[in-house]
Amino acid sequence: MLESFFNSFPLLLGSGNFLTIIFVIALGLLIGLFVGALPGLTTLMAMAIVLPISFFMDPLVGIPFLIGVYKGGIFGGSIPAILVSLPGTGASVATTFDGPPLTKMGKGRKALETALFSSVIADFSSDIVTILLIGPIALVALLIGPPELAAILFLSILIISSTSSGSVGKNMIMLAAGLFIAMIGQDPIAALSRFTFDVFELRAGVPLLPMLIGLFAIPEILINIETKAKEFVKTKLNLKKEEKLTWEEFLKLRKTILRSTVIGTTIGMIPGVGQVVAAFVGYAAAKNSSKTPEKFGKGELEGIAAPEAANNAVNGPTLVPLLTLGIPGDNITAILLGAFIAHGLRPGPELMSEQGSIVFAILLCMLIANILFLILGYFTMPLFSKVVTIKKSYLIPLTIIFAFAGSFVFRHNPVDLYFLLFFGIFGYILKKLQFDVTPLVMAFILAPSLEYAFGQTLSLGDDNVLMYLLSERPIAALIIVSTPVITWKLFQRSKKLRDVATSLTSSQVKSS
Amino acid sequence: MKSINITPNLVTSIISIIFGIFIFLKIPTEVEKPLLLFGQSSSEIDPKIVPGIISFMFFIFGLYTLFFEREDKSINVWPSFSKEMLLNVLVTIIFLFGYSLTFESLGFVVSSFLLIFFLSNYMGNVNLKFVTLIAIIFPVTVFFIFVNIMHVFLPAFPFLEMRIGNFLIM
Amino acid sequence: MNNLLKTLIAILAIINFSWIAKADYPEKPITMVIPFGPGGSHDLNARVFTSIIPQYLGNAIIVKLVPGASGQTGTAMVAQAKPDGYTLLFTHNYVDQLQHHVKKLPYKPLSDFVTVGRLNYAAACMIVLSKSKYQSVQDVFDAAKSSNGKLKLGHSGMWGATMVPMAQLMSWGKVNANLTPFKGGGPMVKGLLAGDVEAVLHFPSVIKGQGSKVRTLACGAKEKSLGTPPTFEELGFTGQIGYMDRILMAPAKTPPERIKILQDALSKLKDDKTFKKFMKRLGENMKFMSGPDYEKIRAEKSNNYKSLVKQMTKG
Repeated sequence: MLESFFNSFPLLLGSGNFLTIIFVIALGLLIGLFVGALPGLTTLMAMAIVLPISFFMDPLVGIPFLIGVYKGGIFGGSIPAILVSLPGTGASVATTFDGPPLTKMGKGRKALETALFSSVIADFSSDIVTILLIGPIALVALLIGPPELAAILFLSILIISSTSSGSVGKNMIMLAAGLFIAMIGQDPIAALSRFTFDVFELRAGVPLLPMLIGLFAIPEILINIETKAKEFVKTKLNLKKEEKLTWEEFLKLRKTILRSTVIGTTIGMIPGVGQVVAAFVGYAAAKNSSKTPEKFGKGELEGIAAPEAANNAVNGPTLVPLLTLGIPGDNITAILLGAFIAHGLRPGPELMSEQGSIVFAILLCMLIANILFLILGYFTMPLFSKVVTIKKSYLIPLTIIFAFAGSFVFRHNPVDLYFLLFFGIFGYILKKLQFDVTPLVMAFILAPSLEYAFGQTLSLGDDNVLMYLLSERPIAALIIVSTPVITWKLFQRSKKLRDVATSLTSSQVKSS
Repeated sequence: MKSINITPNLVTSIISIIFGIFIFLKIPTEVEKPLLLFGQSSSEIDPKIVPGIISFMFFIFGLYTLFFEREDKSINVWPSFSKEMLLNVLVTIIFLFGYSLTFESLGFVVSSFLLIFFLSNYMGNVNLKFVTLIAIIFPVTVFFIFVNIMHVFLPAFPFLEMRIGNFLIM
Repeated sequence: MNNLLKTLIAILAIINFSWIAKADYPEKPITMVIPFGPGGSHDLNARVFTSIIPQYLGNAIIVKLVPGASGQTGTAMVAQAKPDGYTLLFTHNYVDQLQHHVKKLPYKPLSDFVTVGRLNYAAACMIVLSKSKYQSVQDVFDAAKSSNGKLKLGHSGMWGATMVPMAQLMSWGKVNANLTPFKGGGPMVKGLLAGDVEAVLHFPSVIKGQGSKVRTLACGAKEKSLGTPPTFEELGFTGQIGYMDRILMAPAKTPPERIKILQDALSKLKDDKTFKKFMKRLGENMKFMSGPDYEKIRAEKSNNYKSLVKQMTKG
């Protein structure tokens, strides 16, 4: 394998194609970035459209092109999340906690740059880890089967719920609500209808993106409208010189970025978990380790760095099952698989042994994409951050247009607009009553996978699941056993944090 | 007798308990029964279990909130609303509802034009000519990008087709 | 003001206004709904297909992915669309001919849709790990019998393209086994590689990627690229077991002359060199079947599935 690695360099540099490759990656990054930044247009769509174009290119040009679109798109979704609280994907939801408050303080550019640097550094690091450890990571992918996945997902839900702000009871009610909403529709295994009240439109369940946009973007919009035509960004500052991220601020973030990179890389190795969990766990971990957790959610730069780094660190390891086993982990890797196949490459064990240098060349292109993105991003971020300086009376209706268009094109189903409205009003009420919707969103996103993995485990375990777990799946058993311990510790910690917060509030009340 | 302080948590907990009971009662009618496959159920988990767990959670945590957190002072206050705020929000919701209704029947461009025009004016502080211009250009541009470049569908104006070349613009 | 007027007139001059009237079909792009999610084999086939057909059809076909409810959402959308030939459905036989036997649907596939053509089919093969002891399908059956129905087999979705053939085989061989679902072909293959299940069915284009790690026991059709293992027919299982037909459907009330135009374009497409090249790269065959021919076997297939389902679910 080492030989393949070293052979990839001449392959990449020598073919005379190198400049074309660089150009094409940059082009892909820009396309992905703009598509991702348009709420409602997903990276997946962009890749699907670009796919046929890449068919006509050389494999070593076409595939990096797609990878460029991929990386640009993943980041692009964070831009509307930060600026107008419009999450493009589940992964950018965690960025809507601290992004919009920062934007309203006039620190939009700072937030965008934080997101950019965190994402690129994390992505780059995880790509290097992937290149170095591609073999072991593939082994890990094989070891994680349904029982392990079920245990991990269950643990993740608990971790994230227990570190949410607010009272335990309210959070658990939110969790239950998320599970309920996820349940509506067909069950993931046998496709039996549950709680669809004989409404055909509900058979496919509640759509993810309209719900997310409804829960996060619409309440922001309504809150902004409460005070009509005032400026969106509180500006007593001179906006000609928008605040850049300073070197000192960046240095303070390095621990968070490192922690999130580790979290994201680890989660990336586990097939079936994904970027959303990584972002939320990264956020929760940062909040937990911070000395000032109450600042999270009010405009704390760490609150941007943490989820952004984590969700980008997933990108590298996620490709491993595709490259080494030929198994796509999600929709995006499925498109990459199609691209590989259309170019006559067949990812899998054969590809690694016979044409390993191509695989490594592609991984190197990912590193190049990261460096290019840093440069491109640095110049385009100021442009984006200027968007929110337009008058609120224009910005809000335009944001609404995007929210609706984005929700509509998710499934091309007009019913989704009503879902959008419903969750918008629901989210507004929840926000006003100071509920933390994180457990709801997490439960909604993870419940189907959890239920599926659990059902698979029951099927594999046949009559005696307990024996099956103990005898054939020690890893799962280990995780299950440690779950109550970890959860208890987290509950204790967050209770401590809550007591601190309560005493702070009451002392504020006393002194006012 | 002390009067009961109606806090948000109290209301939430009661709603939660009632909802939990509601789900439980609806399970028999709302859960499809699995087909048998080769003599065994084709569904690994009895389909009644998941809604059962959920109804239980609502019930239990509603009770928990009721007993332990009813009086929690830290974030358990009703939000304050001025009449102006309430009016703005309600009007906006009505606008959004109208937008949803006309999205398909009038097409994306027309309904978006209406939304931008009326909402911007409502929010105030705008130049009428400029608003009209934006209200036309913006939806058309978005439509163009989404439909002709990204090949995703937005509803077109259903009575008249407008194209430049082979590109749909409205 | 005069300038503004002039600009407006100039703009209006280039916009073509047209009542949505009869003109040469197709005079605007056609929408092809795929009732599955992105990245699947239908998506990939469709991308190749739609990138080449404009030259034969005179206009573009645009893919619209409408996943949900095991294909029901997308299918319902086409069933309810205006039957003017501008909305088509690209689906497969299990959704079209089997699903209505196991689910209550708001449409009737056989009477609400008519076949434009079968693009190709994919024939599934049974695979096991090379290091396992199974050398033939019969070995697997024997193992199922001797384990008293506890042998672990995998599939990629209830009533889907890898589950139905497995069930058909089991029913033919009169064996019981433990069928574990996986979320799609990828996780299913991973389950096989990890040893969670003993055997699965999958399609040649994917199997080739696994190289020597898996052994192909039998296939639905002759697969030279996999070493021509015995076909299910040769082993005695009749009835095109394992065939996933990729079929293009139109709402039944679509004007027949428009369907004919589509069919002509399709039959020209199948001889296109670039098309053949890309399909070969995807590992797909080119076994095209015309609409009318497919209609002849469609009802029969549906009946076969009906009796299969009846047999499988009688408990």
